[in-house]
Amino acid sequence: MVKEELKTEYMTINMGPQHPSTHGVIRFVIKTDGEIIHHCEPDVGYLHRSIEKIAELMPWQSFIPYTDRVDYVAAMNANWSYCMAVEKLAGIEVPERAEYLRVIVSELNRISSHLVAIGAADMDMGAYTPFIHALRERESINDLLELICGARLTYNYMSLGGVRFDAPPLFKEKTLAFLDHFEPVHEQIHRLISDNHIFQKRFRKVAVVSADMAKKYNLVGPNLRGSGVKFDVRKDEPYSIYDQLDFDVPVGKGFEGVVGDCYDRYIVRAEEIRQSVRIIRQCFDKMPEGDIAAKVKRVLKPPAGHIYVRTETPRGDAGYFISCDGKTSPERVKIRTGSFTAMSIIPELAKGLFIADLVAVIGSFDIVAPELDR
Amino acid sequence: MSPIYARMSEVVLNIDVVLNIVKDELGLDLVQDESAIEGSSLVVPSESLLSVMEVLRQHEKLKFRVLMSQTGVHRGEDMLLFYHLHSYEFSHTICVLCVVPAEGGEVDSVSCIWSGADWLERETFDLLGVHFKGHPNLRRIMMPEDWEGHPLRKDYKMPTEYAGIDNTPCSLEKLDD
Repeated sequence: MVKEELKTEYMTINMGPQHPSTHGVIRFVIKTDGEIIHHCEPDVGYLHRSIEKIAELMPWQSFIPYTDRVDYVAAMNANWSYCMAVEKLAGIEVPERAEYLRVIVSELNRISSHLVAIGAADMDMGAYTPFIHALRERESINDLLELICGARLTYNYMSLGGVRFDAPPLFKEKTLAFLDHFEPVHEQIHRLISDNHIFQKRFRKVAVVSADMAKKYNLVGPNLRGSGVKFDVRKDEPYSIYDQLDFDVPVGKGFEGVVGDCYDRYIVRAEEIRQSVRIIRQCFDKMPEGDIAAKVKRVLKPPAGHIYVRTETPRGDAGYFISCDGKTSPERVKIRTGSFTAMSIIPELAKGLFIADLVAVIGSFDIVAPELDR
Repeated sequence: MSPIYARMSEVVLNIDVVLNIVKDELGLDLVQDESAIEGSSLVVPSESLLSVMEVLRQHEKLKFRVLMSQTGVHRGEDMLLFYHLHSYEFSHTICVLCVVPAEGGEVDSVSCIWSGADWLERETFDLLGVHFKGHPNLRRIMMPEDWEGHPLRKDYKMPTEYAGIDNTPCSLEKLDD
């Protein structure tokens, strides 16, 4: 009898682009050894809408609505990054009331973005209930932002030199009422997920990113702070009015496992929500009366030069590089986002993980595909 | 300048310190880049880019351990490559400008110094057509593999058709039909 020779080989598996837990249209080509990932190659670009090319074709002001589409989970923050870069380039002074309004809407948007991140990470781990709770609270934030600017997802609220609309009557009361309601609910959601045994088992000690590795790959925002590096652009290079506000920067401490694991990144986000609530309350206490926008020329011609501006968005610092040749539209706009760098670390990180843990890694990095591809 | 923004420039690094360090270490006379609106910026010739970057990363007074961004601007005959570095230890940043020719421009890849440069350089290659020598995996990242041309170049012509999909700009006469 001839015995067939048994042999083993790597199997190539395709994950995505249409996959429920890739958070958008991302594809992974995974070479597996049984259930262990041997090599994982992300294939991005499915959502590339050439936003940077569009910027070169239009006046400075007209590009603001496009920045909404760079990151539509946190469009306010994306608006702000671009506006701030152009304001610095053109030397536009922003009135103080506008700065306060900008901080309020951006922090509200940060809360809603982190709620999506936390909820979606849970759903990827098989827990559906927290996702519904998180999205219910996010709806209230969308209502508040609709009250101030008329849109629920892509706001186009900020303009060069300020904001488009002043806070309507009752905006302050409604926002404070929401925060009073939200704080205990956040504790509840936090308890529901963070102490859950199954959730902890899926996130603890998985995909540990050391501080050195995080710096090497330039991880930013909560992903960087999850690795124990205390850096927040709002605190370390304060812009706008952040240096007058009192808030903490949560960092990963190896809460239930090792510093820099998925659980740390998750906890950092949950803690940041609390800090955002604190910031919004302080802003309402301090907000002065006054103008909401500076007068800006309709045809804007900033001086020639280049600038790189960073602001802290929910997915880490977003760098806007703008090169200007003194014309009415940008010569080049480059948007360096947090999801892009978080994605570039995955090939190195995924090696040796279970296939199911790759989903946990994507969830814990809070990767948003439109921001990745632009 | 708004008084609020003026406070930000406290972390700006003195450019002369960097120029002196590079002169001591490599004997190179670099010049400051005047076109930066904010922060310090220096011009590095493309052939010595890798050694200068190594000094910027390793020197104990600089410690630029992070490459924040890498990008390029196509301007006439030139391709301007911008590298933005940051140091968490000293909380300072610097911009490095390197000019290569737009046609057939080549520069050493810095992905051996910062792993994060891998994808950033791939994007610059894809959208601007700069070739990075020594890059481990220089493939297109945003555009499809079979795409022709590099879209962010100023001389780029929009294709009229891709994979059987019509892409001619829509004119009013066409709409009337």
